[in-house]
Amino acid sequence: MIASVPTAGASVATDVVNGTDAVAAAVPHAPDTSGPDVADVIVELKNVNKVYDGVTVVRDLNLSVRAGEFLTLLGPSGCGKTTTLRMIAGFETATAGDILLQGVHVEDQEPFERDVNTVFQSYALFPHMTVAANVEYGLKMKKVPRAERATRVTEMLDLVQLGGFENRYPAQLSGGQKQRVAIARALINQPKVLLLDEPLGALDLKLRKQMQVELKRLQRKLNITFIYVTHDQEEALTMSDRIAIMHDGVLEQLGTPVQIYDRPASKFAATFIGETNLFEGYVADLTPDRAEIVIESGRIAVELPDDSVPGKPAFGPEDLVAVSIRPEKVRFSATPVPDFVLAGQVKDVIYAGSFASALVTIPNGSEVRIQRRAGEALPQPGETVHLYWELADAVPILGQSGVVFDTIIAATLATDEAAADALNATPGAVKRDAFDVAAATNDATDPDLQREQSEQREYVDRAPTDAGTHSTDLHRRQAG
Amino acid sequence: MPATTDTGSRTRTGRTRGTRSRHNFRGNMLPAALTVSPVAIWFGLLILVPMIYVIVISFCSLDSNYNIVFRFTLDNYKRLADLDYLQIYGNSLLIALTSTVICLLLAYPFAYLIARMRGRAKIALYMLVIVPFWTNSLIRIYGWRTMLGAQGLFNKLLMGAGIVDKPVEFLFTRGAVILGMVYALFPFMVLPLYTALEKLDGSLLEAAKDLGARSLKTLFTVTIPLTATGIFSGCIMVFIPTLGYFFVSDVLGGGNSSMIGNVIESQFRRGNNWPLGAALSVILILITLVLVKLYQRAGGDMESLGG
Repeated sequence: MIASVPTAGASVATDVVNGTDAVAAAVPHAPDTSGPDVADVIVELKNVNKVYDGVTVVRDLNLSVRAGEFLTLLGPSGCGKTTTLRMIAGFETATAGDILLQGVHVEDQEPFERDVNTVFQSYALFPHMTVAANVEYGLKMKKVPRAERATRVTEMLDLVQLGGFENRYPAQLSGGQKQRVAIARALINQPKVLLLDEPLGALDLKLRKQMQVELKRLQRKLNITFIYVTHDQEEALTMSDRIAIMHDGVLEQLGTPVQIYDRPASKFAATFIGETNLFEGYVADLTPDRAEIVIESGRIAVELPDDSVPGKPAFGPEDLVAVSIRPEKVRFSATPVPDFVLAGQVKDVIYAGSFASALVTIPNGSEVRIQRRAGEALPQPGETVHLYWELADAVPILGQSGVVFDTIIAATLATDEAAADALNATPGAVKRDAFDVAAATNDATDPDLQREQSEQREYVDRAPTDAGTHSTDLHRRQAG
Repeated sequence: MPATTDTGSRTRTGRTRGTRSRHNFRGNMLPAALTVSPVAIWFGLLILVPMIYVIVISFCSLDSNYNIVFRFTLDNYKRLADLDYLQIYGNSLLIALTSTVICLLLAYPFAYLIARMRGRAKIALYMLVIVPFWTNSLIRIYGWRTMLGAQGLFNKLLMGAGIVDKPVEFLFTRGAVILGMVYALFPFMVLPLYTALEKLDGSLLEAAKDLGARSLKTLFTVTIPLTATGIFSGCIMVFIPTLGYFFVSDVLGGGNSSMIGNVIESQFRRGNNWPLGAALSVILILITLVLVKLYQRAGGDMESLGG
């Protein structure tokens, strides 16, 4: 946009007579360059379904991938993300639905007819060919003349920083080098779209981080659309322009990393990406822009998104909802706060280098995590704090199945007397037959991230005493 | 690891360490010997002794009553240089080669099919290869003789359909011998091919497809090169027995001694010329050894490429 402004200005200045025309010509051009357009869509999936032996692996998937973007299909194993990728590549046939590449139906095209290439999870390098022969393979198949092949192979190997490895065999390469060869081999035919199936899964953490940066750089440089499959939420946040979260074969949310982190559209999205505190309850009081929600441990409030937000949930009174609030957005106070009835005792404070968090046990026994950068104020263990947040920071999520909820209610009513007692004892708690369950979760669902954090975690153990004095005892624990 | 260090240090520091390691070795001898000896005895009695015996008598002479006398001679080998014998060797190699090639061409697609199949179909196909082993191959070859004869199934079918007027002479031809060989040795080709194809990583085939290779290109650039070990071992396992399956050429070839196996057999039995038969056998063993050596070299190369 910045570049187009002087051009328009120049044509106005030099071409005074037709100045108005020049401006008029510039205006319709604007939407093409800024917003997404039909012409921008390079891969389109329409109502795609995939059924294996009666099991639906991908369900009614609609997805438009824009030219030049880095799109990540993110989800746990078995969520259908790899199947989706393989349908785009042509290794799997969709049971129903349309797959379009640059507006052309490709459902019946063989993989070698599609202008996409794949980087396989296991690299799938040909073990009987040298690095150069592996990279050259695609060009040979496309019958590119020998001389041109040689230069392009050299260029491509230089691009992935493997110059000089031409005559090695895959068995003589490290994991990271194999990965680079796989990428070079897939890129040599200059595909419109590069499909990557967990390409960094086999690499160790340090190398993986380095390759993430390199892949992203490569993608920007070549301006090729990348569709990237991973189960690693951190990887997805780091690299992607947009993330598509898949769960049980369904696309749960599609958006930029910021959108997905700040406004998760489902409980799954909220817990799968980053850490969050999740409260479940029912809408007690509703105004156009905010809702008060009764939960097992008290009462909380949340601002409702304005109508401009796409997919805005329509809440009604008594609707069952979940509220997601990120640990860094949770606030605390020594005194009660208006709109909120949510108090708890600080159980533990955990120091993790660049940040620290406090775990607060709320009346129903679950924990709420408050996270702060190191050095910022946190409550002390043993203290009773009142929890609250800026209403706009919390995200209300609609859409629990009533059936599931009833089942849980029945189960908890039958077994959990203690929880009911806690409910009665809590000030402000509402006794209600149809509602009994609320949970606050603050576990990161990604095991890799948890492991990583625990590896470098330092615990500050403070034994809580009733008089408010604390015996501090700092020691390291090595998880492992 | 310790063994390597010991050998290394022995050359440098002299006897002490070497002696100790030899002592340790001797201490471990008894269990090792007990473990290995049954196999060693088996090997010695049933393979080594007969082999040496064959080699020895191949250098012996016959007296006027066709008894073996232990008098050294090279006559037996000299006789093998006759055009007749060379022709028989040539003919045998030709039949073996043809049978091997036909076996390979038939078995490769079949093995590919088994390797790609899943579930019941796979087991069924696999059993088709295994089940014939449960019957004596001589009996099965006689079965072919019945079917190929003038009054056999094939001729009846052909005549019944009006394709031919009088019975076709299938039997006692080189074709019949090759058919018998292919039939008898087909499983030996299928099994190593199947093993190699089963191990082939499916994602390599997808990668080839993804990079623009059609099926046939994928076959020649990826599948065949990566299953070369299986192809070699299958070929060896068919080629070598073909040279020795004298009963096949006996039953289907009419016993006119067209193959080396038959000549050897007849020298030992009807001809009662053991030294000549032994010399023929020694040459056959040498040919076999050369082939196995070639295979090892090729196979070894393939492994270092593939690993």
